[in-house]
Amino acid sequence: MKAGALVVAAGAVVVACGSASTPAPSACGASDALWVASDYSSSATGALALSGGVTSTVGRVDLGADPALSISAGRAFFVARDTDTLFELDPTCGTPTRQFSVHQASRSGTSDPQDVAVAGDGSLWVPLFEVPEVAILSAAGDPIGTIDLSPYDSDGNPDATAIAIVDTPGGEKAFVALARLNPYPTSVQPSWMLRIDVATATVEATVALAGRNPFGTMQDRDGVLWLAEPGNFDDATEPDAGVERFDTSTSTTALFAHEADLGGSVAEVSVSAGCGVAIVADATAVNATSLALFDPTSGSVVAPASASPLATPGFDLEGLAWSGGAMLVGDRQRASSGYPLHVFDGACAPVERPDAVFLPLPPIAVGVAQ
Amino acid sequence: MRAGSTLAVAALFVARQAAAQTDEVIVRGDPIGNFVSTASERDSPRELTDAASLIEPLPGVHVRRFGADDAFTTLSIRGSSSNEVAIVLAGVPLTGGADPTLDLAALPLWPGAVARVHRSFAPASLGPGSLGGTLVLDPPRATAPESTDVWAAAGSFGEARLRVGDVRALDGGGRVATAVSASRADDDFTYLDPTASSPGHDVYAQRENAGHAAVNGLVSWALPVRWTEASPGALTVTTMVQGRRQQLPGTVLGPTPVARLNSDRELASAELSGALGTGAWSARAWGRREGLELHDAAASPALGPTLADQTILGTGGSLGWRGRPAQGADLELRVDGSGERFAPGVVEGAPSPPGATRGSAGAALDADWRAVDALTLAASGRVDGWSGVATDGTQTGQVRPTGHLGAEAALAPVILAAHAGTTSRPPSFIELYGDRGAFTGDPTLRPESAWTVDAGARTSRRVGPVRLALEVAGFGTWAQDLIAFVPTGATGAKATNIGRARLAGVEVDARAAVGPLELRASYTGLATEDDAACTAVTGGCTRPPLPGRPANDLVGDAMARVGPAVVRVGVDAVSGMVADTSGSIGVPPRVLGSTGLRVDVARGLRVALDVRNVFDVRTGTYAGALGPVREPIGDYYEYPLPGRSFLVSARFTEGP
Repeated sequence: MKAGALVVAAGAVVVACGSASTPAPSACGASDALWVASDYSSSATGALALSGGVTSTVGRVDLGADPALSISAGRAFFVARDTDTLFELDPTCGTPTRQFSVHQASRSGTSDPQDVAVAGDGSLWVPLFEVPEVAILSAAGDPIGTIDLSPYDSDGNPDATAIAIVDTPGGEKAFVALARLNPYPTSVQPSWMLRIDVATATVEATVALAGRNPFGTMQDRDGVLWLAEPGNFDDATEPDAGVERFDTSTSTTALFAHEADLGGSVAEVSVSAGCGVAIVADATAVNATSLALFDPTSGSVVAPASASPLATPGFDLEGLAWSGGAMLVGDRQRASSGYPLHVFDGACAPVERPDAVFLPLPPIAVGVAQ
Repeated sequence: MRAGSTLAVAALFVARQAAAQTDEVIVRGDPIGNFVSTASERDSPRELTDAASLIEPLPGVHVRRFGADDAFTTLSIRGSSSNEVAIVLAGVPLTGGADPTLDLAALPLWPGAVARVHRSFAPASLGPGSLGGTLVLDPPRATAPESTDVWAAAGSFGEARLRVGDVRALDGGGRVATAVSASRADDDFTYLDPTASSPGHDVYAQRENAGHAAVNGLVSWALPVRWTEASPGALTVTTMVQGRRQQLPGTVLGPTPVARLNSDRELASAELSGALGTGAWSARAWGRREGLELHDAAASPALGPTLADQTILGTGGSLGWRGRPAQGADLELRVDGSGERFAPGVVEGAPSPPGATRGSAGAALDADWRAVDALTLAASGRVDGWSGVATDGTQTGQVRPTGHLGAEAALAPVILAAHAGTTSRPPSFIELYGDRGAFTGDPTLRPESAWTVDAGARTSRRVGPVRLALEVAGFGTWAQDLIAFVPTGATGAKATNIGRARLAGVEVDARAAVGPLELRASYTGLATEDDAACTAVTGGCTRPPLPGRPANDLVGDAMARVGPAVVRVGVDAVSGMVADTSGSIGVPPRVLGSTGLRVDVARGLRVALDVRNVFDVRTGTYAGALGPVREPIGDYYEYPLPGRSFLVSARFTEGP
């Protein structure tokens, strides 16, 4: 973690810095994390310092209304899923610096990119949700190929949700999570992980995941992929839902922590060296969220949702990451100064700091690129 | 009731006859109880394509089109939401618990049709009011002068239209009005595809699955009734049928290439009246049936059912008296009741929504009192009660009073008017009972309510050779308990009384004529504040404007008569609109020009050419993350509007 260096001298004041066509990437100094926020009507992105400084780019129509944050190989991307645009973010400032289109002409309307992974040659690999393909862009951003995913579900679209590119003993591989929601949008059949050889862009294997409905992006930590798998949100006791640990070196996988033990359907997961944390949702109609902590080595639950250091009355917690030793949790309930990003110290014995980081829109994701 | 007390602000002027665009304009008496704008099909300077285009030029009105003519179109009055506007057709309320937002494009338009827009307040005798205003669309009246009109047109994007109206006398003193209209269009215009375009590389795509075909028919009888030798009366009966096939193109980001909606509507109304005391009594009854059948593909981005049909049944009636109980005092008293039933039919690909019924009863009073020669006071009030039940047994109900007071002072040459009161809207069925699992209802919802004040002045006079009529009004509305679907849970949304808003604005309606020249303009300036939201800033909460409401909305036309021809140039301009709930996405201003030529080629026969969006404006420039970006024009770019279009028409009129 950076030393909480100031992002913006004015503290929590937001600076709308997207008006320039090419924002200066280093003008903002250091930061501790990047963030993406949206009220599903408009979106924003930026960087933050745990001390309270926030920069942001807001009010830009091409940021769309359904964003995601992808971080791969030290690069960060704002994924405007509804406008088929990837904005590469300055890894420190969080300001958009380049944009790439992943629109597939075969489909009118959005192709719905979900995630970005950067290969060793700098190419960008992007799983699409509405088109059963992984789009591949060159390092310069030109489309150079696609990988057909249609064979991996009987309805012709296996609903790719996330990707990670990892150097494995067998070479550089792309791992693509397939939710396989069929009949859409229900999760009733096993979800898969697709292994693709990056050099040849060919599918090598499909691995049945132990859990269902991989949700959001995956966390790649030292060759291990951590997946949040809620199954269905109206049931928090499904045996095949929870936190899954996928070992890319062996392409083996296991459900690491079950949702019944965690105390809710897992919406997000983030793992540090000493602690794993998940945002879990109860099975009520409001899907009230809280945190569940688990040991990243054994999988034993340290603190289930019932002992969460943070809980909300609805589906409010979104955005989860570790920045250094601090745990960052986004909250979509507005406080007087904005939407808080809660910061906890103490790993699996979390102690919350007074709220100091506020975002201008409800948080979607938070991450660290550097 | 005073003659002409239906009057209106925006209808300040009534041309002596349809053909006389440049004839003398006169001011008809205007209302005490509310501001009302009137538009007549015969009096429009533009060739009208649908009912939305009839009311579009009125002050206080913003018509939001989700595509070309005939695409889904909603109505906002003084910044209201579309579900806060009540719509009455031929005396039959079309909006209710099952369908609070009516597609204006589905309203029929016939020769001689007249639309009245009650801005905020409406006469209590019209029936249960609304939060944001009321649109009353009157079809050709059987009591109108005998005439026959035929209007036919063809234009861009496969557009073809026909309107026929006829009014004639029957043996025995009765009269009958008949009308038929039909239209079809492909509406396959091209638009800038924002997903396929990239900086410096514009890609235009063709709108698909946007067409429609519709046919409407109406018959209305007016029959004299003689209750006693000294007590004449009348019976008026109106019946209407509609059939429509509407393709649903979706948004440019989530197109729905196969979705379509087949609908039909049948309605009937009857009014029986007779003299009673110093006034007249009347009894009204109405009924309507609407059938809707939605088809879509299983993989549609709409995530809805692949098949859903539903039926809405409504019936009601009222009994009232209006007259002059004392010198200078006009009074209308009315009691009314109605029943509504929403019945889902076959639903495939999604859970079926719950069925629901609602019964309503109300009592209304509209009164005017000329306190002194120059001052008239008005009062209007209703008490409404309703109770409903869903098929799952959920019961709801409430009693709520609404009303307003008004005053009008004639200070020659200006007439001043002001009103203040409260309006209300009961929750809709979907808000109370939910739909398909994704939307959770709340049977404890309170009705939306608002306090509104407005005041204005109008004048009509001749200044030298110039005939001038001007009306200016200002208003303020404080709305609370607004119902919004708040995201709830991982994938759903729940109806919640979360909204609060403040709206203020100014409306200007101006007409001037000198010699062969005539100018018409209406302007609405609007400032809104969503008191339940914050702008996208930190450090405190600044209230954003409500999305989709233009701060400035101008419609203007200038006409010049040259011999048998009338040449027109027009402008439609909106600016100051935001697209998102935090008010951070500014919609670029758009100024669309239009022009038209009408020529009276023979007695009773007129041909016309209208060109809309004459400069083919199809894009606007938004703020983008790396600089300005171009997007399709529209109230929001996901629903693009077409570029330049043509309409050639001919009208044959026999009669006055």
